[in-house]
Amino acid sequence: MLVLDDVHVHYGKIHALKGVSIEVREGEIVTIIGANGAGKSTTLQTVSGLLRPSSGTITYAGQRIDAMAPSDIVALGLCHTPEGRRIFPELTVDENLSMGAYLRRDRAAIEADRGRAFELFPILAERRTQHGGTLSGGEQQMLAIARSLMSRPKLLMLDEPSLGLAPIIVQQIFQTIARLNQDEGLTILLVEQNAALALRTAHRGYVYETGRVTMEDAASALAADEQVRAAYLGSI
Amino acid sequence: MSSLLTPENLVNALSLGALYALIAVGYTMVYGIIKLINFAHGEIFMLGAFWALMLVGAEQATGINLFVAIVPAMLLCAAVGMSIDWTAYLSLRRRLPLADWMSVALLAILGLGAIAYKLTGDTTHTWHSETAHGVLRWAVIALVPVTMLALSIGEKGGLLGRSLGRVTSDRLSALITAIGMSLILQTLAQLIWGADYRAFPEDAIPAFMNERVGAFDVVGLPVLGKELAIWVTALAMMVALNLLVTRTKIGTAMRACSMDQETAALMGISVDRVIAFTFVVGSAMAAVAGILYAVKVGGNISFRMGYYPGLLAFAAAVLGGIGNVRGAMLGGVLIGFVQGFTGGAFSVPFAVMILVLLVLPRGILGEPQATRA
Ligand SMILES: Nc1ncnc2c1ncn2[C@@H]1O[C@H](COP(=O)(O)OP(=O)(O)OP(=O)(O)O)[C@@H](O)[C@H]1O
Ligand SMILES: [Mg+2]
Repeated sequence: MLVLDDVHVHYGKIHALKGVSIEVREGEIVTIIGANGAGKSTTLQTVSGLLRPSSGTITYAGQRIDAMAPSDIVALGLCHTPEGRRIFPELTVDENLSMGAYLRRDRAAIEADRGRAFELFPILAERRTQHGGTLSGGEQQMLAIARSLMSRPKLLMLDEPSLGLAPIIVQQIFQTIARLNQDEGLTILLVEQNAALALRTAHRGYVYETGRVTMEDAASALAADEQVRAAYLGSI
Repeated sequence: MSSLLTPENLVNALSLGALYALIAVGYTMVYGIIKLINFAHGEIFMLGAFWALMLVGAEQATGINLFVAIVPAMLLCAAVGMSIDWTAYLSLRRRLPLADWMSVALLAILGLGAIAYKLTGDTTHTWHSETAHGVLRWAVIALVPVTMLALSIGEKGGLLGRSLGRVTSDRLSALITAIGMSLILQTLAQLIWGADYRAFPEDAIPAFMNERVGAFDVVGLPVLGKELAIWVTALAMMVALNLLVTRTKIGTAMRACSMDQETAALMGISVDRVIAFTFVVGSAMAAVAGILYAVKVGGNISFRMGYYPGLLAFAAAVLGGIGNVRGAMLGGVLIGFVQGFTGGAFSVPFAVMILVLLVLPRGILGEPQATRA
């Protein structure tokens, strides 16, 4: 469904991705784990068109997308929930959700999806008219995911949905992620610092080290790997 | 002072306030999204009046009706506003090499314009003919191209730009480009239409515009038809703009872009198109203001007519809280009142603006520093 082939990305002189090749197949949850600064967010930003690869190709559903504008990539059904949630602070919860559906014209279906988002995260329904900036961190993360779902993505890219949240909220959010994948067949590319949780949720995983993929395997195999355990799971 | 509190001044203040508000929203909307003071906005106001003048017939009312002419004038100004963004600001935003070529092209136009200015500039009744102003103006004209060159030639803004650091050079070259754009449009207008003050032909202005509106005599206000037309038009446009910004999808997208462009792009919003739309709306409103202003003062259509109203509207936008649409409306009315009640002085509104900013540094409706993590 999504294939990155030998992708290099530079920030000026900084070589952030040094030939990354990864693949996400339809119906999968794929996770990318790795230390700070390994290039995980850079990967997602490049796929969603915010950054341009200096070489390499990105293919989505058989189509080259590495030179496309972000809005055209969203239109193809590929949505990116950025690191740090990035809720529009002075838009209401409702308006934030509407922005998620920006490219859609099917009003009735949009409203149906809004209702579905409120079913998924009932707390958001209570906060509808509140400004996004006044929500708690957990509520903002829920809103960020709900907002992305409003575009009806086929592939959802989540960047550190657990960042700075209490364990119970993290649990709830990861359950929702798993449910979206199982019940609705949503394909998910998940970037996470919390490697244990990510490997429990995902089917397959990639391990990044300073801009390179150093390991790739089934999530359970990675979770059992000595090196991964030592480096990312905090146990020997 | 009390002699300034006359009914005439009240009417004048209301009209000035309405006009400044119409211009100020354009400054503030553009600033809200691209953090740039579009100094060429006053020239859009000027162009609005000129397009309308051409459309109604320059000497006699041989063209279309003045009210009808407002619409194409708005569209033309919208097109100019959008072109300014696409030629000058967009390439700077994206740091396209085009920015360099643009500044060279702009320079050439400016140079030609300066020569034409020297040749055609009338020396009888213009403020710049006095020696001090003349010297100042030439200094500015000479300085702008030099600075633009120094800042923008080469990758990431040449010599000066690099030494000032990237962020500074981006902001600074944008600012200087904006000032350059303003001067270029003025010079172009002078090249095309000359340096004389013009007025709409008398028969192009409907008679009721210069007649007293009886209803206001009851309350002792000497209101002419044109003043009422200004109030009604400005009010209608403000209400419409407010609805646009708060209730529509494109308006919400404008606000989203002013908060976080990157995330807006991730939602599928074409940020550049939203910015273009902002220029379109602001320019169309400035066009209306320019036409109404020329009707109100009974002439004064010239290449430099955008200068003071533009500056005062900019002060209004800052006073209200730059980036805040309602603030710009409020600031416009306040500046209009200050000017109206001080007998049309230009300096007093600025003094008031500075005083208010001393107390409220972000303007009257400006939000306190964003508290987002
Ligand atoms: N805007 C930028 N300008 C310059 N360098 C950047 C920029 N963004 C990221 N980098 C660099 O690129 C590298 C990869 O960064 P990236 O944000 O992709 O890492 P990450 O794996 O997401 O890290 P984290 O887990 O901390 O979010 C880092 O060395 C970082 O310093
Ligand atoms: Mg990251």
